[in-house]
Amino acid sequence: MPTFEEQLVEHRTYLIRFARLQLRNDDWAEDAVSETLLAALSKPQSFDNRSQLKTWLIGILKHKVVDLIRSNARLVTLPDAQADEEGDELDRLSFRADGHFAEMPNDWGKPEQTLQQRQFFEVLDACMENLPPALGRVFLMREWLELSSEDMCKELALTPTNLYVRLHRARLRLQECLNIRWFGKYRT
Amino acid sequence: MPEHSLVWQIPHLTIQPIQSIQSIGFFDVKPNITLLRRTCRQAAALLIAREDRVLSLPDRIALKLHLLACKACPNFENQVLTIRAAMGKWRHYASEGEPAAGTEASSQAPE
Repeated sequence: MPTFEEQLVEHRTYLIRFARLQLRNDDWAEDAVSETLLAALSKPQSFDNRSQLKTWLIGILKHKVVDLIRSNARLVTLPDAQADEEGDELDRLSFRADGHFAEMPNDWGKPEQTLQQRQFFEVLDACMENLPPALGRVFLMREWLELSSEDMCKELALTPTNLYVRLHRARLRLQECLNIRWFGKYRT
Repeated sequence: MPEHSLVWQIPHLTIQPIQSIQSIGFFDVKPNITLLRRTCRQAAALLIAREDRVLSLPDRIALKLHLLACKACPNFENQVLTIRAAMGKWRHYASEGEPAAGTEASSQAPE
């Protein structure tokens, strides 16, 4: 039977992965995970299985990550060159002058079929990692940390409009990436 | 005309302007179908926005009407909804440690 410490260490890689995806900064990610493991060590608990321990650790990690975002709010939202492009993100899709799609959007088929494929989620992960940092952070704050728009605006000192523009850009980038890297192969 | 171009074929919604109401004043209350017309570009923007905020009632109605009449935008909507469902499943994996897909141990779990 591994000790509590040994059990914790087993999950480190897993925790680091999400911390990196959310924070986009290796130092912050290391800090968040170290603080998570320290917090866990300070109140050892026993769990029936690995999965329960994991869920508990991720819960702590999310709090540590929010703390880090809060204390680095200015840096977190600092737009990177890639994300700060002028112009409408929608222009990455091509529309004709009259507002119609220039090209029929790809048919992605039945979502249930897509979601059964493990490889799809590997591509989804890669596409999330590929988002420019400033966009990836807001997207993950919404989708992983599940913060409300109100809280995100408060933590990041963004106006709602600014926040929605970023989320909008992130979503379109993700969709574009999946179109190329996953659904592209079905394209005729 | 390309196959996927938008054709408005909803005759019962073609409302005639009521001239007499114009006398009410500076509010333009003339019912006008063009208020509910959205281009694919606008519809795509609404479909993306809907993931993060509640759309206004006119936008919701306009979007619904557009999706009924358009051949291209339902594909776009399916892309958005697929991502929504995928993120739901991913979130479960990333919060509970359950594999996102497949019954066997996922290669996504690094340990």
